[in-house]
Formats: sequence, C-alpha cells, structure tokens
Amino acid sequence: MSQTPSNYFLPDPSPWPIVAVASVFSILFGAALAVNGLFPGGIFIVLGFALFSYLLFSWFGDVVRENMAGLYNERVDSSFRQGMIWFITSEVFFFLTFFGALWYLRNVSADWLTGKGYLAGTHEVLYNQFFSVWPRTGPGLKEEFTPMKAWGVPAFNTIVLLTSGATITWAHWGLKAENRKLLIRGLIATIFLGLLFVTLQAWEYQEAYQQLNLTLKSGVYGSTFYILTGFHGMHVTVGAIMLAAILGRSFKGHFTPENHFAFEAVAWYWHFVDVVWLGLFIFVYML
Amino acid sequence: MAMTFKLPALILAALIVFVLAEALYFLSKDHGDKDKTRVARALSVRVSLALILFLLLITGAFFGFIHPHGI
Repeated sequence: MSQTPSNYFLPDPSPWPIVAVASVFSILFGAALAVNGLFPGGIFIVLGFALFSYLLFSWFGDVVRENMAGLYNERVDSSFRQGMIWFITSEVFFFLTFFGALWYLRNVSADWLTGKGYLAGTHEVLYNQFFSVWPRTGPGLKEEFTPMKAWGVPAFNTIVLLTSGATITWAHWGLKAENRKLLIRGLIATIFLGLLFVTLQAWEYQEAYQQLNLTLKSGVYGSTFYILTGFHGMHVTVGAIMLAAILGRSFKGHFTPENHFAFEAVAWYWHFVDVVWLGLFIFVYML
Repeated sequence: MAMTFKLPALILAALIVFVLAEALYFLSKDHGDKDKTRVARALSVRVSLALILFLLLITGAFFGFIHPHGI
C-alpha cells in the first residue's frame, strides 16, 4: 500500500471485483436456467446471492478497515461522495421510469384506446367497447379485481415510514452531538420501523391475492401496482440492511461528528426511500 | 382532487424534493465537518414537510376534497 497526502490511496490488488463478476454470473445463469424450467437454476441463484452477500460484507469490511486505519485522504472522501451522487441519480431515474410508465398508461394510452388523439383508430378497430376509468385491467381482460384501498395498511405504512424518517433524524442529531446512546437508539428504532413496514406490505400482498383477486395478472393496474410497490419494498429491505451495518459500526464507535460519511449516506438514502413512498401513496393508492 | 388541496399539495411535494436534493448537495460538499450541520438540518425540514403533506392529504380525504380510488 502506498499513499502520500496529495494523492489517492492505492489499495493492494483485490479479489473482490472477480468475486463480484462470479456472483452476478451465477445469479443470471441460474435465472436463465430457471425461466426455462431447468433444474439447477434455483441452486445457482441461491449460490450467487450467497456469494454476492459474502462479497459485499468482505469488500465493505476492507473499506471500513482502510478508513479506520486513516489511509483515506480528502480526495478519496470526495470520490465516495461523488459515487453516492451517481448512485442516487441512477435510483431517481429508476423510479422515474416506473412513475412515468404509470402516468403514460393512465393519461396517454388510455386516451387512444377511448378514441382520442392521433391513435384514436385503435378504439374504432380493436376496442370499441373500451372506456377509460382507473383502476382497471386494460382492454381485453375480463377478470374482476378489487383495487387496493389507500386507507388501512397503506396509510398506516405511510405513518410508519414518516416516523422512521423522524427516528433516523433523531439518530443524526445524536451523532452530531456526540451522543452515542441517542445515535444507537435512533438507529434501532428506524430498523424496527423499516422491518415493520416490509412485514405489513407482505401481509398487504397476501390480502390482495387472497381477498381482492389483485394479482400480477390483473392487467395494467396489477402490473404497475406490484412493480412500483414491490421495488420500493425491496429498497426498504436493502435500506434496513444498510442501517443494520451502520448500527454495528455505531456500536464499535466508528463515527465521530467530523467523520461519518457512511452514516449520512445511508440516512439520506432512507429519506429518499421515504419520499418515494409518499409519491407511491399519492399516485398509486390515492389518485 | 379540489384545487384548494391540489395546489398546496403540489407546492409541498416540490419543496420536499427540493430540500432532499439540497441535502444531497450538502452531503457532497460538507465532508462531515462538525460545525456543518446542513445535511441534518435539511433532512429535518424534509421530515416536517412530509408530515404536513400527509396531514393535508388525510384532511382533504376526511372533508371530501380528495376521493381516493377503491373507496
């Protein structure tokens, strides 16, 4: 290892990029087998995810150790912050794509199918019985379903996530004030609320399938409902795992009021996930 | 949704996104200095605005200005 104050820290040769490729290959190879109904697909997927988890644990562990050894200078710090911005930019566009798809389906393609706009001929030729109302499956699908109501679990989950935004902010101020007890309590509360959110969402999905006949096959409403809320739920799960890692580091006393980028990055990510949920609550559940 | 509720809701939503983006900007600039609490402050404002927006939505639905689908 070598480092001078004005240059980047140069780490030793690392096995982790190769392990990353191997794990992603295993997941995709397994998925390719699984969608074709071939036996070892599931095994490759499980092994791939296990390897990927090991990789994240080990690679982040190396980074934490190097950081705690004081090997990172200001330039490295800046590169971490820039990396965070690029990561979040990709996340913003990821969710914008799905929100955009929902908007397009409800406001553009529905008009064409009801006989408005330059593709109005579609209505005349193919779907002259179609009228636009939301929620619905789309033209050609007859199966009945009940849409998910905004009140009940979704509204309660909004309160849960809003509260978790407050508890992570509580932990944030605790860190700034060098109050480790506050930091740890705030993190534990936030993780608990995150897990509660995911549990309630799983219960909501079960209700949707069993009571409302709202499934992934419920046409365009079912598809957009599950892809938007499902990916958000996945982000809450990943966020809770990241918070758990930060909690572990907080127990070890890794963060100081001057040096805590990892905490702030994860806290910001949690706030982002919370804001996305507000958007989902309004556009998927309410309007 | 009635305009009485739509406009404040849109303004609040825009403010939430702005403050969140502002916090990200501060995160990229402040390098965790102890005296710089701009990220924490911006995120605190974010939480407060989100709470106000949620209360506005509940109030709107309660008084019949907003009609959530499926009800």
